[in-house]
Amino acid sequence: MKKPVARPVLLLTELILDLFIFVVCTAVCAGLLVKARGMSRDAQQLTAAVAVAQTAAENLRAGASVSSLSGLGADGGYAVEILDRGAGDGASGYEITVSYDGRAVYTLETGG
Amino acid sequence: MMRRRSGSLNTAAVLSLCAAFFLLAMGLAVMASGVYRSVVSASDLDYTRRTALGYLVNQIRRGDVAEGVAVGSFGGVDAIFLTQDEAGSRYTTCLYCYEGELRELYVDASLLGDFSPSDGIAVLPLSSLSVRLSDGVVNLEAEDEDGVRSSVSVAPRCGVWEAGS
Repeated sequence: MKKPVARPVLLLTELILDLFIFVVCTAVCAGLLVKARGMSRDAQQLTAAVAVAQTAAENLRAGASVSSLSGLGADGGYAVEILDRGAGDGASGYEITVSYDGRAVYTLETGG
Repeated sequence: MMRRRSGSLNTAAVLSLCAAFFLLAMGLAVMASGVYRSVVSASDLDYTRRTALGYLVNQIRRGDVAEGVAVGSFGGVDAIFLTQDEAGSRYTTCLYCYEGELRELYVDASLLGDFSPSDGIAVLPLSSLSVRLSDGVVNLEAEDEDGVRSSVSVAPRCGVWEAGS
């Protein structure tokens, strides 16, 4: 005949299983929260980068030189790289790339 | 004696498991509130950038006709003046920031001097707005309620000139 398991042992086993499930759920939730924070930061950087690229494009349209726009967005930590597509291959317009921490955040191609 | 000791061990184990539950739940709640705060803060900043500056840029583009866009001062504050002809009369839409709000005033162009910044209709909250003109480009710099500054430039295709009131 089987020996009955003591009630405290059953209670402990149940609590340990509950804790394990809770830890798994917590890990999933924490992952989602970290992802949400990352997405929010990316959205913030994208919005700022679009404004910087727009400012560069509008200045180029008004006749500013590429070299005069190199420091655009620097106060917010953004770097602007402007490629003059009319310089060699016959196409016209500019390719404006805005980077943050060395990572390209937004690229804007302007027409001729 | 042994039985009593085993009972206290069981109680201690249950209590420590409950404490682990509590700590995990509290940690998750604290982390969630921190993420929520940072997301809301970033969202507010984006709101100022997108809404206030986007609104001003689109208004300038909408009023981009010959002699339609001017920048200057209105009652001591930086302002954008968008002038258009309507039914034989000239009307001016004046956009400026006054007492913590971005405001809009639409009046007959010849009567603009009779109005003050407080007469405008509030569009959205904004701490300050700086409007500068350089080489045909209007530079807009807005500051939200938290003191965060955002800027954008727009070059009206039909030109822009300096005006005052």
